[in-house]
Amino acid sequence: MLRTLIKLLVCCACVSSVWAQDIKLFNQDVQVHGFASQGFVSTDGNNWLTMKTGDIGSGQFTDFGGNASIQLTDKFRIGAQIYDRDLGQLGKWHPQLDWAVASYKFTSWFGIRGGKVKTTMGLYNDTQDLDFLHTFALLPQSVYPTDLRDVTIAHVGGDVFGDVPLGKKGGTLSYTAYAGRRGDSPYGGYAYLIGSSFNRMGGLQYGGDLRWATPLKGMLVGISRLDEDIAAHFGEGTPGATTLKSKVDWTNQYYAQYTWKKLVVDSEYRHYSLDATINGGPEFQTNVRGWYMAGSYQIAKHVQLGSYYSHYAIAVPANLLIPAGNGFDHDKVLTARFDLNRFVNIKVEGHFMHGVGLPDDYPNGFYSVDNPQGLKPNTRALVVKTSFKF
Amino acid sequence: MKLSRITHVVAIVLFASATVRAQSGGYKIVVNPANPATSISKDDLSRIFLKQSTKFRDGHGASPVDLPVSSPVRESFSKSILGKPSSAVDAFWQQQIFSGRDIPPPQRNESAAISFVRSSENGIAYVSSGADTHGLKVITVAD
Repeated sequence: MLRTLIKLLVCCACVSSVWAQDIKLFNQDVQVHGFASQGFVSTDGNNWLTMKTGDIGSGQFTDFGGNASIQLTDKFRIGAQIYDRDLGQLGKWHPQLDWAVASYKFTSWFGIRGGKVKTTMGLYNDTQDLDFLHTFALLPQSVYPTDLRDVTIAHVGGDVFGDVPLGKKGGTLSYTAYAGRRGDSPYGGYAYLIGSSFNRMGGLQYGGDLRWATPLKGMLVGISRLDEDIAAHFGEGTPGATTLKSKVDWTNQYYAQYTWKKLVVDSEYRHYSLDATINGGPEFQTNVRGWYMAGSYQIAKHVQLGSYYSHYAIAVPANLLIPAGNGFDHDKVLTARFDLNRFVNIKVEGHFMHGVGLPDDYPNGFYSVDNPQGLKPNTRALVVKTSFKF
Repeated sequence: MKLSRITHVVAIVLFASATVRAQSGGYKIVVNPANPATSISKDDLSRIFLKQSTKFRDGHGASPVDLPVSSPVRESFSKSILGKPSSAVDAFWQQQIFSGRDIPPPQRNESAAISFVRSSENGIAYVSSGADTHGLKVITVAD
């Protein structure tokens, strides 16, 4: 096992040095890049993230992606990325178009892009799959739940964006506004929770993000808003056919990040509020609040240490489908990241979790179907992950 | 008369110190001879290499080319002009690349960067202070 891992890392390092090159096409530079990661998760009790982590652990935690982009003129660029993952019962090796974008930047303060676009939301929504960019093997699941990746990751539509300098003493304001459609994969958390009766889910999304790189060097603050008009269909063609449709459906996210030399501290708060109708009749309400506080420090050229506290709370009032409930999950995390070179890293991470959310009602890492023996209130997890990029 | 001479001397000293600073960092900024610029501010240079601007102040186009991340010349340029080590600038570009937001300027080794600037009217690059810049225009960096 160890020998295979070492061979894989050596191979990755060699491949990266060969592949990190531009390719010429019709006298234009085509930039080709890729990444891959492999993780292993072991827990002391509950199975987690749809994997069988509870016995000796699970290595069913793989993803990869590749992209190509070409700058056709100083202002016009096109590109696309493919992404695939196999995380327990999520992804299941069904590749998807991660993004495919045509972008035209008129000036630094106004640009447009269209196609399938990664959604700008909070500090890490659009980079949540890119393990090599983060200190942590798993981002705080209260704000970036990996089983609900599809919900916010991208929209098919368009953005306007730009950076507005506010003078030497004012910093820079960056804005993004967007509208488009979301289409959930049948291999995501909602589909897994609902089971075989899941048919499809998706609809309109629109929103924006405003972030201010303040005059205090390294300090960034921002706010994101997402509104949705989504329909989820399950049991189509059966007497129990059900459609859940958004009536009021929004997410607010507030965030701040401070970078000082080798220290990075960040915090985010996300509130998701859903008021949906069931088959056009009774209403169904959900409120999910998540926040985290994280810090990381580079203690040596190739070593970073990090820690975060992640807090998740969900409230579901009584209704026809789901009994009333309140759930929570608190996660204390310690991480060490080792960079073998510019392309390959290894992370070792410990999670100390208390609470399991509402495992029968809303996806958040713990599922009753994965834990038929019943869920215990506390879970400790060891995550080992390696990733490479070129 | 005396005052204007002093002003003149001060201006020359300031100009020379900016030039020395840029070159003592181990690099010089080169553009195509067709580019009318003779100097560029640190801020404008940073905006061009971070692709926040595609033009010089006078409206002349700017197509930057980077040296490889491992180059000590790039490290020196990144720290003094972009205010970050080249690894941090590389991380910024990785974020942009993989989220589909943007791509960095093309990377070339020094001789290819010089050839690019020589053949491209809008070309701009930083090269080691000892590089042969025959056929190129070296411009100064002002604070």
